[in-house]
Amino acid sequence: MSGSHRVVVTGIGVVSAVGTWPGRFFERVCLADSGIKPLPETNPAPPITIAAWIEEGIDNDPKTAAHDRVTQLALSAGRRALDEAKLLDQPDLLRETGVYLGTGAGPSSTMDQSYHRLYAEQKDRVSPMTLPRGIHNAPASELAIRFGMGGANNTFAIACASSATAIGEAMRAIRHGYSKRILAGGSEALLTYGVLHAWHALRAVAPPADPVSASCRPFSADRNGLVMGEGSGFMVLESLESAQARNAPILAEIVGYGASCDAEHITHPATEGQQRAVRNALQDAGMEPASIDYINAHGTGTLAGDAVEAETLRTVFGTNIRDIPVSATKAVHGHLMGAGGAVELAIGILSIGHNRIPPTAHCRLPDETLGIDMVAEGAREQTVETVLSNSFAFGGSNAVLIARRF
Amino acid sequence: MNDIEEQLYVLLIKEIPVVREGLTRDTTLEEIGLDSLSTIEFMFQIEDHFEIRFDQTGTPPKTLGDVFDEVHAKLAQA
Repeated sequence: MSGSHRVVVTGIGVVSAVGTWPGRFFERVCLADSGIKPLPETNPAPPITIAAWIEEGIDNDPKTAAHDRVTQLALSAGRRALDEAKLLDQPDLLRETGVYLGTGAGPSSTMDQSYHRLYAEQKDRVSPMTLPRGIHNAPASELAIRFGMGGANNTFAIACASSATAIGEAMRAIRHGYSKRILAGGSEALLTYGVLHAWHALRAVAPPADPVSASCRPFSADRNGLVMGEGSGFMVLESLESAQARNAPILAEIVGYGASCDAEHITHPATEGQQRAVRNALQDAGMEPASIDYINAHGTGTLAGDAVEAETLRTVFGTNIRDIPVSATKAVHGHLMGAGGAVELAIGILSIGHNRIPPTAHCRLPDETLGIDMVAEGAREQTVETVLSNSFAFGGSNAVLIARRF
Repeated sequence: MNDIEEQLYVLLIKEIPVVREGLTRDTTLEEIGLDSLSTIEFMFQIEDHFEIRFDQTGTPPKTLGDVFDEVHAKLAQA
């Protein structure tokens, strides 16, 4: 293959605290049925006591259970995406399929357990599997091994923009003829004692609210921080020619990807950098701002983050932003960090398929100073042709994706 | 069969997806899917459980019986 190819999505898989896709995932997001709940009690107790953690949906077989949790989630979501794309029983097609995976923290359970063994249990060595399970590209490699995917295998570690970048770069690789088909997305499972401490120290995490399920309130005037989550989302990206040749289901087309770096501060977002990414994505798609029907915001629920993102949207979209619904679904599935971009683009694509825009849950006091339509009242039934999804990361990296109905 | 070997089977079943039925001392590591990496991990779990250390030299075990004999030998030295 060479030249320029249209890139379509032929399968989606999600494992999250609000269910799986295929499954009730999108329905629960639209119902604002939050997956945020108290973490299981441990000794010692971590400083963060709530999160959007997964109780069911992880594949329950010994081969999956042997891996770090981040790999377990990736295997479970990746399998679902391959299944929906009708690829699971196609070894020849899988052999030419690549894997692009984004993860911020990688296999943090493996590392946490090995440190505990050395520092707390005072043992003098760790499991020989620490390295094979703990390398950052273990989830992507295990996906390739499990399903026989022999194409390019890349891992992106760009904090909260990891999986959006993975999807964007996969789209480019297919568009420009380097790959025919790529399983692209991300996985994150960082609810470990050590990582919870690290996030707590940063003071960006919301305290438990009453009810706990409403602790993350993006775009609400009383928002006071993010709530950590775990999950994985994947989609099969494929050249249109490849998808049509094998009569694959086509769920949407990926038409735009924009990337940038704030180049200003390691944690504080900067609107100029975000604007560059959004404009790059629109330019890549050849679209005017007014042609976007729904924006799935990065919307973490922090005071500063939501304000900067709203400024970005007001600046890029101008007066059009009043007419474009913007929702932040992290209120229900939590902040999935490196997996967030993939899961949120999946929500955007499912909103095209269902003509339904999910709400910003728990936005009980809509912050009018933000100047956006944050869909606070509940899911909205409306035709959705084009969606834009923002992912803005610590480190200042920004990745924006645009998908449209095929 | 003794209690130590029964504990070894339990450790093995925790490590890889095999069922106890059909496993004997003559079962080779290869036929139950223990490659070099998973064999090292299995040996590590055994060392941890029995608080012993295998010698790093010598011939690598080929059968479950080879592993069990090494464990018996190390426990006898302890």
